[in-house]
Amino acid sequence: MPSQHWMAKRTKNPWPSRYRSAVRVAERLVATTGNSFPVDLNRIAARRAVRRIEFAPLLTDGGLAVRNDGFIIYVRCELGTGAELTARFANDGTGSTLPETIRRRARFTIAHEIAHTFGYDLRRLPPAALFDLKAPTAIRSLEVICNRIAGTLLLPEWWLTRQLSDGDWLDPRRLSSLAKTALVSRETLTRQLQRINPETHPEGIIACVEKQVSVPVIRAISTHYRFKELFLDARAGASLQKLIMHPNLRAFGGDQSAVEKTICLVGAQRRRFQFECEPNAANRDLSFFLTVRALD
Amino acid sequence: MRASLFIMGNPYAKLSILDDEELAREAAKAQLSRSKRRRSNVQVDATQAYLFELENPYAKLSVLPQEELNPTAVEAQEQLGPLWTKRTQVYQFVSEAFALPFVRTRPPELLKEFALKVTRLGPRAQKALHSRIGAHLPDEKIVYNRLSPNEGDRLFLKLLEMADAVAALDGQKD
Repeated sequence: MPSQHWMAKRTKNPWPSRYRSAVRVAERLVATTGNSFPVDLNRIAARRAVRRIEFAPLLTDGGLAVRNDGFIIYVRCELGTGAELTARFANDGTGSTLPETIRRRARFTIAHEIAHTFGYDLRRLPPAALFDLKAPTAIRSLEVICNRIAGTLLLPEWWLTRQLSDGDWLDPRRLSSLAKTALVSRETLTRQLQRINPETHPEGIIACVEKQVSVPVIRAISTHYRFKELFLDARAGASLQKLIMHPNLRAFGGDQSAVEKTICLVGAQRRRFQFECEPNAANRDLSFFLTVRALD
Repeated sequence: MRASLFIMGNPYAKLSILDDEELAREAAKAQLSRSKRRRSNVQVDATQAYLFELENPYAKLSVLPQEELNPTAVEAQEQLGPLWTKRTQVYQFVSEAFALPFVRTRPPELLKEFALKVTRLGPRAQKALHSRIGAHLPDEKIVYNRLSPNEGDRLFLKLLEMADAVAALDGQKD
């Protein structure tokens, strides 16, 4: 009976299929729009009938407006900087010329708003909404899906798979460099790693951590399937101490970037792990990568 | 004369000695006087209403409606009327301005606090708040806002800050 109930619920919920179809469209869109990294969001936006991307002093991160001839995407910026940033982004759709402080956030916001256009029929103008959103749960589902599609637009799986095909990807500095190449935040990269083929995932745990008021907090975490049963409490939003607590590690104010620790597992089995973080892990309010690998 | 009667299409009409041009002129004059009469009736009504409003039968008669007599007073009254008198009106405004349809039916605690504060503000402060929020809204109507759960609270806190800032305008700060 429970399985029947689950199946019925599954068939009623349209979001998983909408998500899968949107991801396919997003992957194809990036592949056919220049295929260069960081992704040129202006070119992708133009393909989705976005007429203008405008920076404005909003109270939220961004917004999408529908007009008779297509869409306008709005992105938050400081008061008085809107015109200049709008012009900069119009000239370079990768966002490389935007100020460092807003570059990655602005790119993600634009990608998120482009993802919202997937919910519209663009064969006619003005664009017509494909589904009606009234319930708060539907809106929340849509927002979650748009975040995932935004991640796909910025880091499509085929590109990520190609990058991860060789070398040691449990090196936090290398991961950081990859995030820099794609002009995405460490959090976005970590979340996209959760969605790649399990065989491609580096054999270990990759976490994006942020130091908030001296306590390091996990922002996102991606785990190889062989590590799924370990560190079960280490989830997004949890304290880093659920994963590791070692005073010598930079993340906890120590002076070492990597430490080893033996952990007792179920059945009195003992395993050694290496925990490694980026050199910037001591800085407050900055995010950093922390990786875990088995040593034996 | 007969020709004129035939043109008028009324064989029983009083015989007229006017030719066609004169008839047309007369008709135009009659129409003008009718419309004048209609206008004067309206003016009388406006004057009467004005007198009733004043509750002063001995006041100097005026043929001008109130708007024309004292336009600035009416404008000021319109401007100084409160924008939001009920909390639901505030939810409605926030819901539409920020494309957050669910806050109208299920307002979060911070929004409830904001709405309560706003309805207690005077008209001038409400207007100032309205224009301050307006400065942060784009030209086109937003249909989707990027707002994570934490950011929702941040937005309402910002709105509360704005309401506190304008409350000083009418000395109604809590």
